[in-house]
Amino acid sequence: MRDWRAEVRRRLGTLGMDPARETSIVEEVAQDLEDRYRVLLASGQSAVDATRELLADLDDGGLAEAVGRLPRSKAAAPVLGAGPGHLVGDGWHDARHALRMLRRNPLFTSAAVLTLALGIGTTTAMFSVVNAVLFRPLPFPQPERLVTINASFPDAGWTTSLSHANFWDLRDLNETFADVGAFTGRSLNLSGRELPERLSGAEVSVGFFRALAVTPVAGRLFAPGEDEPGHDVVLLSHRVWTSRFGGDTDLVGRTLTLDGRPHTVVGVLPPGTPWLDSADAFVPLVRQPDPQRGSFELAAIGRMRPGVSAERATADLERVARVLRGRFPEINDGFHLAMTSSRDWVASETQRRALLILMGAVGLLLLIASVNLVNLLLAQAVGRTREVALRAALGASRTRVIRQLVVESLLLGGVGAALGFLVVFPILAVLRQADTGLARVAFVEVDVRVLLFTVLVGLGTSVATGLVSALQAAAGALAPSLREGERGAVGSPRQQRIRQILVGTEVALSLTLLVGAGLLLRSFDAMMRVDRGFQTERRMLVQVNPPSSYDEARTWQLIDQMIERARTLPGLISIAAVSGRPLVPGSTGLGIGRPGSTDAGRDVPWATWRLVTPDYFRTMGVSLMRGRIFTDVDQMERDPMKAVVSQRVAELLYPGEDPVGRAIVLWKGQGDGRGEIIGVVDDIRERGLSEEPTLAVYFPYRGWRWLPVQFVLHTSAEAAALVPALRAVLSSIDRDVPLSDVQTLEEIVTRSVASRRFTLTLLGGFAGLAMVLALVGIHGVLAYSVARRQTEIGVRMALGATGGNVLRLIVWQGMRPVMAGLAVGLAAAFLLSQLMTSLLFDVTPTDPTTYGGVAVLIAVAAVLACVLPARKALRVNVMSALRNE
Amino acid sequence: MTYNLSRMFDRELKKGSAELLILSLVEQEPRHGYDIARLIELRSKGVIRFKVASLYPMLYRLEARGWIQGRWIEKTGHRRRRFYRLTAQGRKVLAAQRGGWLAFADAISRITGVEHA
Repeated sequence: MRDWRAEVRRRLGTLGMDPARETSIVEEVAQDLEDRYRVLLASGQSAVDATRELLADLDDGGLAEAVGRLPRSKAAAPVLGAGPGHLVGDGWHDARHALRMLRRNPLFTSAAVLTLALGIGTTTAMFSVVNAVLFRPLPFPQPERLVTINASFPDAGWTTSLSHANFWDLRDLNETFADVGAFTGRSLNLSGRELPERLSGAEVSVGFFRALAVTPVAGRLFAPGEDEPGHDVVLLSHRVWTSRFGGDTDLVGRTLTLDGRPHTVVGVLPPGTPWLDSADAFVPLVRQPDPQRGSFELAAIGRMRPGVSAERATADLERVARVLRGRFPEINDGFHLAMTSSRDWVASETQRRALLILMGAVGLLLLIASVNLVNLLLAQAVGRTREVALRAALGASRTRVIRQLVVESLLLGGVGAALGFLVVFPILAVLRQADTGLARVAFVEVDVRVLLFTVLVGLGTSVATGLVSALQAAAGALAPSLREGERGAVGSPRQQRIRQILVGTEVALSLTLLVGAGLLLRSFDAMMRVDRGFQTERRMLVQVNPPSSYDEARTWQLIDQMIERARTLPGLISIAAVSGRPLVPGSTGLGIGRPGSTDAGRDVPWATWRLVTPDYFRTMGVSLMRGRIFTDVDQMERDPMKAVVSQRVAELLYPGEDPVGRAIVLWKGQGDGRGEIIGVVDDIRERGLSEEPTLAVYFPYRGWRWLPVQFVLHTSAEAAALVPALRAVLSSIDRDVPLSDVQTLEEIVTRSVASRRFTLTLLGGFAGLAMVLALVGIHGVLAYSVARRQTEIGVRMALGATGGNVLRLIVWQGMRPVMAGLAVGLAAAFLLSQLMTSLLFDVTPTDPTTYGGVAVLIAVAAVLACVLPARKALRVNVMSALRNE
Repeated sequence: MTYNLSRMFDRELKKGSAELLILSLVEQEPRHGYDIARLIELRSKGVIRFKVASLYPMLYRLEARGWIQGRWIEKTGHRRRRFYRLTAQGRKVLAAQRGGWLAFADAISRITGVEHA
């Protein structure tokens, strides 16, 4: 007789199932074949014929495939799960089992892994940014002792930089700082090489880098005494040292021609942000014999002495301020010194808040992804209720069963986290290039902290989702599942309810995110539409920096020739010179007033001042409202100074009157100059699109030597195309003066909103992803429940329900958790949006349009997500639905 | 199209009814696989035959759903065999399927009856 066991075993051989189970099947089927063989022989068949017939039977219908498709209940393998067992052995077994499960359901597995990768990837990328900007320590020893020191006028509510005089006094009088230092930006021309170059430069006091406790990579820092006039020394940034001088250590001790004067290179700074990379070249801030006290120009920092508390340092600063108020009462009225933590050096308060909001948002996104995963796992676990129940019935402990499911989700989490981690690299590559308006994002990297974060998030997510779904599956499955219903894959009402709660949660979370993104979008939109007061189309700015060694006549000869020759360029409509660029931080200011006004100190209105050549207003597209603008013959005159003012200045000083020809007090409280208003121009937003229109006072440029000079150009075609011609013009005038900082006005505007755009783009992206995930969740839950209710639907249709009835029924069922989620989400958004107030412009955190729009958007999308599975249900064949019973 | 429909109908019918047959046969007493196959062939007068390759997967499927339970039992004078008995849940399913089958058969005969009239 044939060895039937061998025949059967050979056919099952490739399934790799549990050995005990396999033995049982082989034995059972072989016995059957033996019986049939005997009967066939008894009926008179030959042994050969009988064998052939039975082998054909065995191959017909595919025994192996059919057995392989069965759920892996270990019914016949009581070896499984009797008690806790060996931890390692069981864990290994669990992992192998989990791997098989996941391989068998590729659709489920890929959906789960992708969801996780998305959630973990975005969270990790966001964390990398937060890590780079907020968590990575400053590149200075003991950064907690470093502070910024500002002049503050608390009664007037403003804080500003220090004046030269106040800084030197602070340095001399303080008792709690090891070093204080001052910094102010300045352009430097590097000449004596093939082409003149403009270097971004800065003047720093001798104590500046000492306060930071920087160690130079070559040479030394500035020595005491080098802030006296006559020391032409320079420190180079690491960037310029490597990029323009090839990292040559012999550079130290050599001379460079800066602004036409030889400077000795004394050292090279280490790389780093902030401060160290804020300029290419640093020269000493010279202590003038009689420093001015009224203009606030110096950014000051300090390093507290060891053992000095912040309270003591603050008290010391207050003592110094009191001394200065006493000595110079007319200038230092209301003056205090305030210090802020060096945390602000990398990101401002607003930027930190924006980053934390984004981190929170991405956390919500991860939560939504997790909820979706729980949903998937639950659906899958419910489908496996029998397996779980059987295993439990066979003695697998509850813990063991739960552990199996947790191991599965850990496996998913591991793959998801790994994939998510890989996604982070391209995201960061994009971010590094992007103009985010945030310091250090350009250097964002994946470091140990980021890696650790990914691992923790991956572990946390998978353990949490695994536990939640396992507990659910176990609670639903262990005891009652054998009783409950009879249709293959039933979810108990309890499980169905839990899945609905999950859907509601997803809707609430994504609504919250979408409202946040919507508010930012509306703010951004409002800001871009706001009346700027100037035109940006086909406008460009370039900078020309005549060396400080040129006298006034030579400087003006250069400016005049530049304007004159540039005018002849084809495609140029107009050109003008101005002392500063709009929307670029660090504008010049002065106090203004009407003669006889008693405003003092902090009450004096503060205006921006600009030096302009006559064509400035025409070139910028700023309209003249009253009076006249400057002509070529207007010069800076001392008494009275002829001034053009902005509309708001006119309204402030002469409300309801004609201001033209009237007097204006300039530098009020800082020397009180006499001025005369000759014209009024439209307001422009000089300080930022989100700021109120600036109070502005314009003076004729001619007669001043304010450097560097900015040229504004209005062209008839693409402005940038004119740059080469412009360079040629300049070099034909003066070979040693470079043209630099070419920017279109559009670029300047874009740059000024980069930080907001970054926040908006990220939050918008997160919100979009969140919504997609939520819709997938809604669809999934409903599709699952519709599949489960096919019989019911079939019966309803058979009994005469129309397609419309059924559609309404199903959509209504699907929309119930969505509605609940919308209600909860609106409430949550209402509360959370209060945190965003400082990021909004011209939109309230409770803007009804945004809330309504977002709610409607989600509702409509959710209805669509419900209609899809509902329509599928309607196509169900009534007969086959009934027969499934 | 018609061909496919009827084939599908046929397959579904067989699958549905085969389950019903097996459940019915183990309702009174536990039976082993060969016994079940033999009884089906016998009682259907040879119209329905179950090959090994389709009988056992079906038994395992029913077992996995928790409707029947198989166990190796050694009866005196016989060798050890795997006997299947109906579970409490299987009993409910059987009742429901029987009801469904009767209703279905009734419906079919009424429809075919009307058509003949």
